[in-house]
Amino acid sequence: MQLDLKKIPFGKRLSRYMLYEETDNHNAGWQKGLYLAIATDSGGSFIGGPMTGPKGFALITPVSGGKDLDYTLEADPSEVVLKTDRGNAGFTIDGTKILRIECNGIGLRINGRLGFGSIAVMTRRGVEITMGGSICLISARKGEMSLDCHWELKALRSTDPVIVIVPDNSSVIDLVIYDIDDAYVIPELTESFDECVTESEADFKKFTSGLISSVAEEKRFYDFCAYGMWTGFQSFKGMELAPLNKMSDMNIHSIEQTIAALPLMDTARGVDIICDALRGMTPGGMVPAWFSERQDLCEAVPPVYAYVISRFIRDDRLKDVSKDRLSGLYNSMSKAVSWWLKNRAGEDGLVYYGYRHECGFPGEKIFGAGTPCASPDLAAYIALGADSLSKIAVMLDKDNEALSWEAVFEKQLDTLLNRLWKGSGFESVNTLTGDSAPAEGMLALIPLVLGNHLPGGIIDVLAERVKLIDFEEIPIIPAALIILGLKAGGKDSEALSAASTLVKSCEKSGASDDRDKTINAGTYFSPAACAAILSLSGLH
Amino acid sequence: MFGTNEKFNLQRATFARSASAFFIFEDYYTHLLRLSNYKPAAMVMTSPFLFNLRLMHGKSEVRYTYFSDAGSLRMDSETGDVRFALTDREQMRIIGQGVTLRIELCPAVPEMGMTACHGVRSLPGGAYEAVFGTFGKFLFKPLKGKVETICPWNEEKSGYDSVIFDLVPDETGIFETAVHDDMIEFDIDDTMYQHFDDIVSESLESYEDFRKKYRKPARGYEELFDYAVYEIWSHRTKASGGFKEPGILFQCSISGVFSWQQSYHGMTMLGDPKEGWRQICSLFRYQDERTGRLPSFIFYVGGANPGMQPPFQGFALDTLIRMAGDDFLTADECEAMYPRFVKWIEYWLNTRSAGRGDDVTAINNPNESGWDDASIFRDGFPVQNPDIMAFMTALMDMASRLAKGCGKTSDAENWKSRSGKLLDTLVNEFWDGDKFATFVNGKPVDSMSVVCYQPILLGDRLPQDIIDKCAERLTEEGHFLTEIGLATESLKSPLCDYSARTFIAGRVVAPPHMPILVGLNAAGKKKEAALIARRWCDNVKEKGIILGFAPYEYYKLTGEKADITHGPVASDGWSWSPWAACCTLMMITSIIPEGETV
Repeated sequence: MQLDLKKIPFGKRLSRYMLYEETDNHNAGWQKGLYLAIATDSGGSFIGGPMTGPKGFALITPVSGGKDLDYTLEADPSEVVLKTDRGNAGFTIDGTKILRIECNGIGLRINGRLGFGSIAVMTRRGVEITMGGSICLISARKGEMSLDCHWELKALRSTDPVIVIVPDNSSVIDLVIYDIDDAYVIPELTESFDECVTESEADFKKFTSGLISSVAEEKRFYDFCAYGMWTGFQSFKGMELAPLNKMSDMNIHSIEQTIAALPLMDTARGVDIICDALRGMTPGGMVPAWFSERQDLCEAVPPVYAYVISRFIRDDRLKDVSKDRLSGLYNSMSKAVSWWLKNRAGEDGLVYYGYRHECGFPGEKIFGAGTPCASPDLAAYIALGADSLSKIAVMLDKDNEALSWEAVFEKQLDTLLNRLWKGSGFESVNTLTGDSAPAEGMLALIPLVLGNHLPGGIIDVLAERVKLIDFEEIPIIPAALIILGLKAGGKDSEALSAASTLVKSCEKSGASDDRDKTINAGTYFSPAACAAILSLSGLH
Repeated sequence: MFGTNEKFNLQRATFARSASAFFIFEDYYTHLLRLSNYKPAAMVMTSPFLFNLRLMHGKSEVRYTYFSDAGSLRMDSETGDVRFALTDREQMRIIGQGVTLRIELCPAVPEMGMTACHGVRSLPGGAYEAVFGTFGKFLFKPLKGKVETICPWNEEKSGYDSVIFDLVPDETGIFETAVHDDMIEFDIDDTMYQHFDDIVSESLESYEDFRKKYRKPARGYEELFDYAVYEIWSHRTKASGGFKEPGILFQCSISGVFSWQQSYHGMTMLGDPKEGWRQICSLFRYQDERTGRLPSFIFYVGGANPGMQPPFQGFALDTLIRMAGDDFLTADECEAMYPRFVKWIEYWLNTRSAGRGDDVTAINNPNESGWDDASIFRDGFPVQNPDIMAFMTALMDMASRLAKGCGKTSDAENWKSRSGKLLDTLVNEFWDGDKFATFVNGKPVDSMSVVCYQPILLGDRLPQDIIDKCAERLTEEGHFLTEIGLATESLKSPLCDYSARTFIAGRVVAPPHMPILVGLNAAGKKKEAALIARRWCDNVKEKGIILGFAPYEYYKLTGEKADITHGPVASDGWSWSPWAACCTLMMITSIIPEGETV
């Protein structure tokens, strides 16, 4: 598999380092070329750290005799090779915290691009580039390194550092770039560059073998998605979760974590990811839209986890999960579902979005009657959540709680089918005024995820309405949920057709919700979007 | 204290309260009062989370004047008035008569529009909840009259066209509204609504109580004392969110609790040395257990904060003991804090060693000295700077004091010895006969920064000839001494720059005065210290307790005009400042009284 570094960065699971090819798509003045980037939180910092978002901070250029060399790049999941007429450079990631670079016959120049508060200094350890709490330590094991960087007194910042590495007498450079912090714990190096490549290959292979199998026809694209998902995972407060996009947004979005569990064959791991996403809930049980090192966005988002867990139950996969784990899931999920029932439900049982953004897509056409809005997508999620909790309660011998959750399920399903369904489609209800309006757009089709809980007639109508949806443009996660819903409702051909359109649009423009826009280099594949696409590979 | 027709207004100061995150200031251009909240740590000059406060009578807007003190803020108009009082329980109370108060979202940068507001929804009882993404949530709860909103949703841009909350009087012409703030979810009950006047009294009592933490001021500075204490009290946080203990903010706009500033504040609280010691120790609650590093700053929203500030704590403790005795240093306190001081010292020595085989340090970033644009950094980094070495000397000495206080005699001797050795190195290798020199790559930096005299903070530990020379240089008119205090770069230096976007490049700035004046005082140069202090204090008495000032409108060396334009709002670096206030308090409660009674 050859990676296009303009679209998807070379990286590794749990590593913050990425290599990508900057193309300056927005004409923002970025010098084009091969960059080293680091996945860091952005903003919110008075002193130190990137202020405008994590991005490439080091442009890497091959040089010889003081002149820049033309080059080509070849990248696979475990190694990048930069080729010139004079010699080559190889890049791989050692463990998770070291970028290894080996050059033969050429030198390198690294042009740093630093934010406010960052600085580069030459110390006895090597060149240290401080970026907020991170230190990028560059050490030449073979070759000689020089640094040009000075403090601009008036500008209150350092000049962008220029690091030149010339080969040793045998024309070789062996460079290591450590990702460390101010504890200065230097990670151990693997014996050889080749061993690092082999280890990366093995880890990626192990990851892909744990995914729902893909089909030959679109395998190449699914492999890219697998790579996007594998590289997307990051260590976060002792958990392994997927930020929205390591190149652009390090916030851990809770819906996206849920979706990341979908294509995994290892159910226990999937349950763990969902539990980790729920772990950030407020004392009252609201699951934040996203969380980060510094701050959580304490705004509610739809309980999509309910759907993923219902799939695990439907496929009888929870039997592989230990009682302890299941119990943890039950406790978290019942608290989270209860938040909706306590804080977003009227006496008549209608569960509503208090704000437009709580549906995940504030511009969607389900708010015809305004807010607070009882909408079909939310009713479907709550129904699935209650149904799942009822079934898990049985597995945990909590019979009374099972009955209680079953009653919630029946009521929500009844509301959806008898209050919100109007024959030709669902409607939304303003729970304050009692006004109602047709629920339009993609979210009105989300109830398909209920599968055979829905009467065939409703599925038929919804399947017809799905045909009006432009799968080349709509966001990938709701698109995938609708397609999986079609499949669950027995509409296999419709599901395959929609999936094909969606996947083709992603092949062309990347696994990203901005498929119709110009986006920054290296940001074309978001891990949760990749997971959503991968979850469709099982349709065949 | 502050008002339209008062000596000082709220253009560069804020109406705020200890333990409340709400704050109100006057817009420099429109003269409207503006409301915000410091919890999200948004800088006022760029924040989308700002609200104009307007008074309406019917459909017409009416002009107003205002007045505020520690208890409340009042807006007065021809048709009625509105009063604000703040609580320490995430609630602002507003009461009005004869007018409607309009609270209107208005970002610092117009292009931001209403993006801060993610949603507004009505709740039972006429209340409204508004959510502002990472900026938090407000709940408007009417107690009298009603709350009305004007929040038209624009489908096309998927956002609001305006976000307005009107607090409207009832038929008797009165309204009263409680505004709650929260970053997570509201947990409100009806027992939270005490009488407005009780809230005002509670605030005034809190302020009065806080005044006791300081000594009484020298005669003639009583009013300045009131303002300085208010400035600090109003910026004091409570333990909540990311704050594990009460701390004092840099500003409401730069709303971090900064590391070394807490020690600045602690050493000033000579009326309550126990609280002063707590304040000095407060940042150790966030000490990195692996490394010993103290973070540069803490925000309400939390997170791991990078970087560090100077090791000021030893100097602060030394000053507290010198000036107020050591009764607060119980054996338990020493036992608890000694290992933390040691870890902090070791962090400096492990990560900032100059590599000489001794305890000399070299820093890699000017933020680590606190003096970001001082000319001692003109030759770059790593730099061996004597200001940090002086702090390290004091820190080791105080580690020795803490070790002794908990019976660790040999540790005490060891740290005393290392402190002495570092002092010897400082004196023998870094004093060049005229100033303390900074070194880069083994060469002295050609600098005429006032930072070159900062080791005077070591007081009578320094040899007399050095003390004399420091005092001579610092009191030489036209060198560092100006009519309003010490310039941070010599007026004779070609690098002297007091333009608006500078910090320690020439301006007369409060914080460097603290180590220098306290040091001169401790070295027996009390009159000299008092002379400089009076110049600073006489200026801020008239101009307000701003962080710093340009001493002149032109440069003495070249005769060139200086660009000293102030920033337009209370959010720039030259607003009223708790940091400047504590330096001022030290001067009027200790430096001037001691120096002028010698």
